[in-house]
Amino acid sequence: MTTAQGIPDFAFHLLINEVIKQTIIKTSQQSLIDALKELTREQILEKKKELKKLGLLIGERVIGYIVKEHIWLKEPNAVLRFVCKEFWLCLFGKYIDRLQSNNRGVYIMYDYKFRWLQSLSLDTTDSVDKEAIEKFYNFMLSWVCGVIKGGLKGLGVSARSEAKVEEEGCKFTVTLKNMIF
Amino acid sequence: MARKSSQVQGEQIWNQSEKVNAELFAFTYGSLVVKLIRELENISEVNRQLETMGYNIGLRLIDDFLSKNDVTCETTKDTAEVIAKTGFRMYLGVTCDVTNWNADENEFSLILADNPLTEFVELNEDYRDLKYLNLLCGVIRGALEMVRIKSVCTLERDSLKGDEFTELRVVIKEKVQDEYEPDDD
Repeated sequence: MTTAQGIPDFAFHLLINEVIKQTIIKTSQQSLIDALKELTREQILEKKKELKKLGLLIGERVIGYIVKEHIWLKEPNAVLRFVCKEFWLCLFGKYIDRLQSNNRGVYIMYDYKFRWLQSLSLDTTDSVDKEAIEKFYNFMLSWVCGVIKGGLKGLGVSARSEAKVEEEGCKFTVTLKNMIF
Repeated sequence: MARKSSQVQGEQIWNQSEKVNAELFAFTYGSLVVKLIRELENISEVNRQLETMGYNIGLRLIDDFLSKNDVTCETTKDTAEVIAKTGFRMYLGVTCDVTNWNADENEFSLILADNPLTEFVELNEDYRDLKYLNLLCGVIRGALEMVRIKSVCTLERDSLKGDEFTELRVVIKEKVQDEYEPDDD
């Protein structure tokens, strides 16, 4: 039913950049860098929440398309493995590089080559501001967290997810809440 | 430029690029439109915002496009052909047809049979004024502006509203000539 197997990363980046920009910038005269600088702590949290919510709906729907047969994974480890393999493969074309668990519902996933961060770029009409770029990345990651959360929700697991950029790559922390099934 | 070669070129670049899931793309765009509708509450404002966002995308898209393609467009026909066969193929994986030229050869229509953005979309009667694909119009306008062509692009027909296909009408307003000679070095 799909006409295309995928969409080039670049096209997608441009789209998601615009989505984030639209969320952050409220007046059209403001440049992205300025908008990023002016955000207060509360505003940042609020916008992140907004993006997460946006991602959540998307994740939920995408998982619906990859779960082709009825799977009923009862075991949280199996659910997480599914996310790390199938879900990630579908979204980013690769598996998660490392999955760790404390066996108490906290999972840490590492992606050493998170493509989106490598090629995401900002409009650099203003001088490049490192702090602003970092903020922007974090907004993007909030969205990704939302997608992961949505994916898990689609599999019947309610969880909290966080992401962080670390030296070696991207770290996603998933904390399971009570299991639905 | 021959029709075939621009299509082949677009296809090659398409094959080489790393991709994300098409459904993810479609849903993301869908969620963006829904978000705009919720926030702006006025459909014509939503259309305008989509166009502006597309314009911003176009401004940056063209850099990537020119870095991967070696094209020179002497006539408007070449330009149209490159947009339809290379541009759309490269970024959306579909090609479109160029038709309906006017006598002066500065207006043409791009016919899209199907495209990944509207894969899962159904428009409710309440949203008859919504130009779902207005983003694409903006992309074309922005990209052309960066190669010094002033244009206006509108969504003429929309397969989401019961038309057989989607038609984007591109009107070339003027081509800005280089104001200065390039340096020798």
